[in-house]
Amino acid sequence: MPLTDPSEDLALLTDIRRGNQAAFETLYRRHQAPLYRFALLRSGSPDTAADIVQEIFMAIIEDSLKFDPARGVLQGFLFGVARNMLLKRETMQHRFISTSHRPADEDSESDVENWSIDPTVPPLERLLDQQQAEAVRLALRLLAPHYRDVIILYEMHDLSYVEIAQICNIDIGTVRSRLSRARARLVDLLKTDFSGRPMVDTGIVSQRQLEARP
Amino acid sequence: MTLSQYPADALTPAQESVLDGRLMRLRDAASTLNAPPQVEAALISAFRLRRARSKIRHWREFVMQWFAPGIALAASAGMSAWMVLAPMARPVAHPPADLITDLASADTPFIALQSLEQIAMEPRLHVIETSIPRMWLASYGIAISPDTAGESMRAEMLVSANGQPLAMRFRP
Repeated sequence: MPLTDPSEDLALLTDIRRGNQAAFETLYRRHQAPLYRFALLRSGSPDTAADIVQEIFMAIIEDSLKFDPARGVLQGFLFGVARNMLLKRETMQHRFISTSHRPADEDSESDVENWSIDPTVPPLERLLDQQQAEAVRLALRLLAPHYRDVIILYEMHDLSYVEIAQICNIDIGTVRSRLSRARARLVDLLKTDFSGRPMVDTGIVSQRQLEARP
Repeated sequence: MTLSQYPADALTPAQESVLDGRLMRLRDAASTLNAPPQVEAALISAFRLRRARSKIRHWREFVMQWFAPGIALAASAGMSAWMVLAPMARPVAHPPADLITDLASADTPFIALQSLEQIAMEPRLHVIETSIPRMWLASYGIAISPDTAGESMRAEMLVSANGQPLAMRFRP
């Protein structure tokens, strides 16, 4: 389900090509947040997510993206571009993998405190909510990338199977099966240990598993 | 159906419900996340720079498209005018003294405007009296004074049968 009006997006793109700065600002404010969230949950790094957003909109400024309105809406297209950029980065990271033991999500830890804080929710409940959200976030990072794509797009961005299939270049059946397996894997990762705390909440498991990731 | 009877990747309704709740919490927590403000600032700055460059390029293209033919035409016209009007240093062929003597009874000699061979080959020659601007002399490499450049002077012109000037001399 697109969060923005596709026809308005097209009009904005046309105005941007004519040099209309206001149109660019409008388009940016419409799409930056979903793209940033997707890239952040997908990569686990706020810096990477910010870079991805910047690269996408720079490509819009340079008019170097080949968006075809006949093949889908702009939002889905931009998610696809973000995904491809993330895949390229992952490939590069795997190629030049560091021998140091820098935690994979070192910079993401500081970002947790900036996440949404609802002042109407009591502090303890808020803390628990944040812990649970953080546990899911860490569990997402432990999923294989192709599972992460579908579950983030489906659960966090309300995209349909068809839209996810277009973004990930897979068929709808594969979207369904990946989503199902991703959810099952998430449940596994979020299972409570004997102390009643989810395993990923302890930090020890997640750290060990993160370091073991290829 | 017990948990063990479910397929490997199928979840019980309870598990589904718990997972949905947790995903919802993550979704709520992430709902206000935005790209850092410096990203927008950098992009707007890049957009302005790009627009400025684009304007310069469009202006250059506009000038080239609409004014280039005019500039080329004016340049051609200017060049043609210069070629017609500008003084050209032509070597003045001085006719031999005997020809000058033959052509003119007066003491002022004729100045050849064409080659002596061509003058000699002409079957019929005429001498006509005329008045010419001094400026005209400059086109034949004759030095003129700027003070008198605008004046006219009397001259006799030796012309061929078809009216082509062959030689001239000045009359006091």
